[in-house]
Amino acid sequence: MNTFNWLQLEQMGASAGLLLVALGTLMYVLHVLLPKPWLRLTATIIMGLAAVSLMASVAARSIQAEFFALSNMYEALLICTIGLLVAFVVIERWFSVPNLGWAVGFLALIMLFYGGSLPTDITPLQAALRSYWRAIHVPPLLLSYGFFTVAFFSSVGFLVVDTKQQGALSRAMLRESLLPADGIGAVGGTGGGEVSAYNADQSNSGGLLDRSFTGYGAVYDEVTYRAIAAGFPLLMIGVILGALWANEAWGNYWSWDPKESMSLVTLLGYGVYLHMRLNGEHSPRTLAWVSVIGFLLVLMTFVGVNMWGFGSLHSYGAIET
Amino acid sequence: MPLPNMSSPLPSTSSLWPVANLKLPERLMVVLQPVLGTFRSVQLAVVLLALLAAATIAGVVLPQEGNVDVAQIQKQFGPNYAFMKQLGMFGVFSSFWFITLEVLFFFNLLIGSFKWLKPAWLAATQVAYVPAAVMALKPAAHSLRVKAGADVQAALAQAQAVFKRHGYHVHVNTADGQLYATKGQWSRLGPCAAHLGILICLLAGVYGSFTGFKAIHMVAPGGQFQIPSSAMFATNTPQPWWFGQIPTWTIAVRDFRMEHYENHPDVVKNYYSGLDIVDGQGHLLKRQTISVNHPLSYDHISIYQASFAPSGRFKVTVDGQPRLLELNQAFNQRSISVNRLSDGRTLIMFPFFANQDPGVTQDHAVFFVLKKGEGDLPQGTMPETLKLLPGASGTLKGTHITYVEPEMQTGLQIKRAPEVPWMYLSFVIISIGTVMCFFSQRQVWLTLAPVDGDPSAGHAVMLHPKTNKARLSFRREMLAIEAALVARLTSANPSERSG
Repeated sequence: MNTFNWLQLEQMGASAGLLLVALGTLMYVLHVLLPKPWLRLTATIIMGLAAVSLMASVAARSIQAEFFALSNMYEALLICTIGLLVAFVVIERWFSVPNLGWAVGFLALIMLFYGGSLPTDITPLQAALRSYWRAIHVPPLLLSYGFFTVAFFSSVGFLVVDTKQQGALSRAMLRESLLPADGIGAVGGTGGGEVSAYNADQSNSGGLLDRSFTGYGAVYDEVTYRAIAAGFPLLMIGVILGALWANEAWGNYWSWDPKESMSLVTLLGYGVYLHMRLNGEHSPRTLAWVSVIGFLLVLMTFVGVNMWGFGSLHSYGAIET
Repeated sequence: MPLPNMSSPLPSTSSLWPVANLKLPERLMVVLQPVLGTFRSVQLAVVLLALLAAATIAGVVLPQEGNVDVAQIQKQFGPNYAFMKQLGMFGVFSSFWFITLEVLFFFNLLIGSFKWLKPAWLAATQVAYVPAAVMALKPAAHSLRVKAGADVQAALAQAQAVFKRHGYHVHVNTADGQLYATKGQWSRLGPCAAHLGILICLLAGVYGSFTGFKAIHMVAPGGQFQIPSSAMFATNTPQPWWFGQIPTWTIAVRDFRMEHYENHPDVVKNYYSGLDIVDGQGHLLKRQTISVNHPLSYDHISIYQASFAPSGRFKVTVDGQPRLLELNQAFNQRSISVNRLSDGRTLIMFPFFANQDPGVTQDHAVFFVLKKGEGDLPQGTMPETLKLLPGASGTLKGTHITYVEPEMQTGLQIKRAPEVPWMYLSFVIISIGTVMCFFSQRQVWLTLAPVDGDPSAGHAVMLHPKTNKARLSFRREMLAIEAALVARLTSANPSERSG
């Protein structure tokens, strides 16, 4: 006899998740104003708890539905928010990325509020989607979207910092052109022999400039790369599992379904980024722009295809109001 | 303009075209070298990936023939339709230019992978010592602010312990005073593995198109069929180059049923076909009930539950006797079922479907009964009728009728795909390769150089760190390693700390 109130757990999990994300975001905003390490650590822990709370909500919903709850846009947004929070917490603990927490927090809040405004009824699945494959095909994809979102914010951070540095450098060069020659050495210093030595190596092998390899810019650049490098295999595995499922269920690995095609485009887009990065002939600024374009492809894949009515087998993301 | 001196001997052809002096294989290489150089460049890979992405977006955004009715596309694009069709914009994924891009991508992968395989393999497997003199010339080499003692072996042992604590594989050459530390070396093979996997996947697809087949067949319960019917073949109809095998056994459909959700009776939860595989002598080879996501596999062939559709027959009971009514006549351009019952009565059924007939909101059937001697269906006047929804019963002119349901036929997809094991292998390799790509190889060369050329005066420690990715993490790690090295070597040799 099933007496447990799963609906209540689902609602509590979603509400608690929303409140925790709001609290975490607030703490990250406070951290910008008052940069104390404990504030940042607490905010990250709260974001992690929010992800756990949302996971509990999805689990309770799945138990009620008797299938993995991913049949409409509300559920897709809920799970995508979990992916974003998990990816963010991993990256945050790894790199302590400046000014990323509040941006991720605000996006997670928007996703949760928007998801909450959509119909939340559990809708029956069409026969083709009733398979264990769905539970293993979709999570890697949504987690990869989380990493790509973190990469996007990091790229934007890089572009902002780089633009400021470029401006400062131009002003400094203009100032020096008016100074005696012995004043030039003070410009663009990297601060320390060790760093200079490493930078010499990096610029030889990777084409990075000293200017961009120090301070926040370097952190953003590396976080962008690491987040994409983490998201790319997840996206690849998700797409491959989808192809295997399609073959298992319908005898076709690939049918150029719009959602499939856009997943491929996203994969190709980030493939471009990784090849450009390894090639070492492109500036971090160019790479940051490619990352931004990659995120636009993610958006098009996740919501655009369904929003513009291209969906077919992947119509779980259809937005019904 | 002065004329050329005609008395001077003309230059030989070979001096004008140096290639003419070369042997055939060398000539071939001279010609192929630029082509190979272009094909193995990462720049070309970037361009091809970007073009494939753009082309795929075009295939998503533009309506594609096969998915959308041609007349609708013509209406949407009007006078531009013919030109855009000529460009293959309404069949992007089978257009000549998309296939050309795929072929170029294939060769870029193939040639590029060979280019990177050897260096990656060497980087992953070789212990690369660098002589101290060479190290000193390297721009990134720099000395620690510490001086090791005269005992080279002891200093290297200390350094080895530090690198091992950071997870490095360490190789020591005491004779030359060198240490080579590396980790994540196998990640260098990740891109090659991923490329190899994609190549296997593409080749497996080609192999499948030469040897596999895919057929689609609609069949009503009780029916049976053999595969060798050209009308059944789907997209990859066997071409002259096809050399696969088609089975001789027969597929019989015992029954077909649909399951609906309890709370949403209008939504199909799953559908099931009871299948028998029977040989030419009628022996049962295999029996299985298939459903969506659960195909039958026999003799390297899979039979999938693909779809369902009305068979054109209707299950009814007449005075308690089950009957299967077929659409056998036309009436006012409408298919109807006219059936003679045993006692001379005639049962006539008009089926109506919500998704076919304008103004009809529910599937139902309208029945007429003509008693013996009442003749044919009257024209112009509406006789006494009985309208029944599926599952409903009623009595008309003393005849008790139950309209059970329209009979459904099952849509089966039959597929032979010999490439499947290769596909799975390629997917495993691609997955492993892309995961390997996430990690980076880190290499550190440490050399002890005698201070002022005198080994007894101690050794200066020189480091040359190198990585192909994740530079910031590596930099942080190297700062920690340097601090540990300074602490270790200083504690081992406290009097030798340099300023």
